[in-house]
Amino acid sequence: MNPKGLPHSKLFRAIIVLMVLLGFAAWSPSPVGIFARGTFHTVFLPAEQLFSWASFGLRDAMEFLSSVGDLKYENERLTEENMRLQAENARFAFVRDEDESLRKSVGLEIRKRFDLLATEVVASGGEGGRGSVVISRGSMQGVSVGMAAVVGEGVLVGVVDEVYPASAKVALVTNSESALGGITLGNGSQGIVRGDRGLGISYGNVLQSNPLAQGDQVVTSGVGGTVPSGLLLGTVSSVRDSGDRLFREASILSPVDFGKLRFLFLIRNGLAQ
Amino acid sequence: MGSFFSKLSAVVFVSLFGASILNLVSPSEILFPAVLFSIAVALSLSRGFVKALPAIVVIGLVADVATLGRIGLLAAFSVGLAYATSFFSRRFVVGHGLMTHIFSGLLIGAGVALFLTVSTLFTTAGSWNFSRTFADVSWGNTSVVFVVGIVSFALVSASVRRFEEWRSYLETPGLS
Repeated sequence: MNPKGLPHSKLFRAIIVLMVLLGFAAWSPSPVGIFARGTFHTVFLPAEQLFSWASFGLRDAMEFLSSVGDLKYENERLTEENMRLQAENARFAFVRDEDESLRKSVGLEIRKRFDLLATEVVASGGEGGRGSVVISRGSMQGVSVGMAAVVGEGVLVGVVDEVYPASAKVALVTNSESALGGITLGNGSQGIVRGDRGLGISYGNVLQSNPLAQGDQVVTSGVGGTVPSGLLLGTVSSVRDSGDRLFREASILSPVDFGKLRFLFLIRNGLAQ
Repeated sequence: MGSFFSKLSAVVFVSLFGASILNLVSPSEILFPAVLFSIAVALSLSRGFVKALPAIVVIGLVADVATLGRIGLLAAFSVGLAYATSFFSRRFVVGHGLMTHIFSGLLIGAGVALFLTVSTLFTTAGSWNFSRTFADVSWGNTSVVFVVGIVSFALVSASVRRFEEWRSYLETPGLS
């Protein structure tokens, strides 16, 4: 035994500090977390913008260097794919008008016209290092909790869940704490879209009687939240029964590479219809 | 005063490096925890556990805030690894040679693997699926974690040693 007694030993100090830290992590009081993150990401936002600018530049340079050797092969592949897509495009032109009018009639078209606020990712982290991102717009620019963050022509990537003066935190749809109402295009099967530990997206609580198949596109239903309907979430990649066999569930493959997010668009309140 | 600002700058730099560089550039979720745990282990080896404890707690907490994680989790693992380093280094490792690097790297790798498992437990509490979580564990993933731990410690310990020299220079009595 330590001659100074247990209260002075390294083990005792380590146990006390560990208990306090793990207790705080388990408790995780929301106001303290929001205050701490808000202070950090407001005070150091300029440094974060500088660091993220450098890291995106570094990533682009690395990707360019690694792709140089593949350019010839890639060019040949793209030429072939271009010809195939031209043929496919001509074939789809016949059915496009009919398909669009059908989707509009049931209110399920992937929406393309919103009042958008452009923003840039300056940090990421959370679950698996990819559960959330910090963006360079905050309450001073009109950002509010619940705003949907999209890329491209209406592909949902996340929802604003904390707002700071000059920045905000977006919980990505891959985050386990993210839950949204979803619906499949074409057959209208409704369910709940949840993040899967920062790694993927799952689609659950779909009734056994509702059709759900690989290749179905899933969009937001707009039910029970601030996210508008008709935002694309992804394509069903595999279907299975839930553990209790009461529902069907699926994995959704998003068209977005969440590891390469840089520019996002927030959908402001008062959406253009 | 200069020493205080140098410490503060180092803490902020480490956190920004994790949140705005490593997490954005790297597709892997293990790099920043490996770097942070390497700092904790290197500080514990150079200063001793008790003297390094306040710095390790502060760096861990700021890193938790910057990387949007559960506040206290990275800090708790850093403290645990620093204590384990202190405990084992007195018994099994002599000096600061190759064996220390390998031993510290393996310890950091084990810490990262455990951290990822526990952070999953924290974020999906109530719906945690043991079989799915352990289905993600493979020999390939595990060996990568240990290799990253060894490489990370080799790079970080050299930087920490330089910083400690600079800090002791700034704290030299009579230096103004």
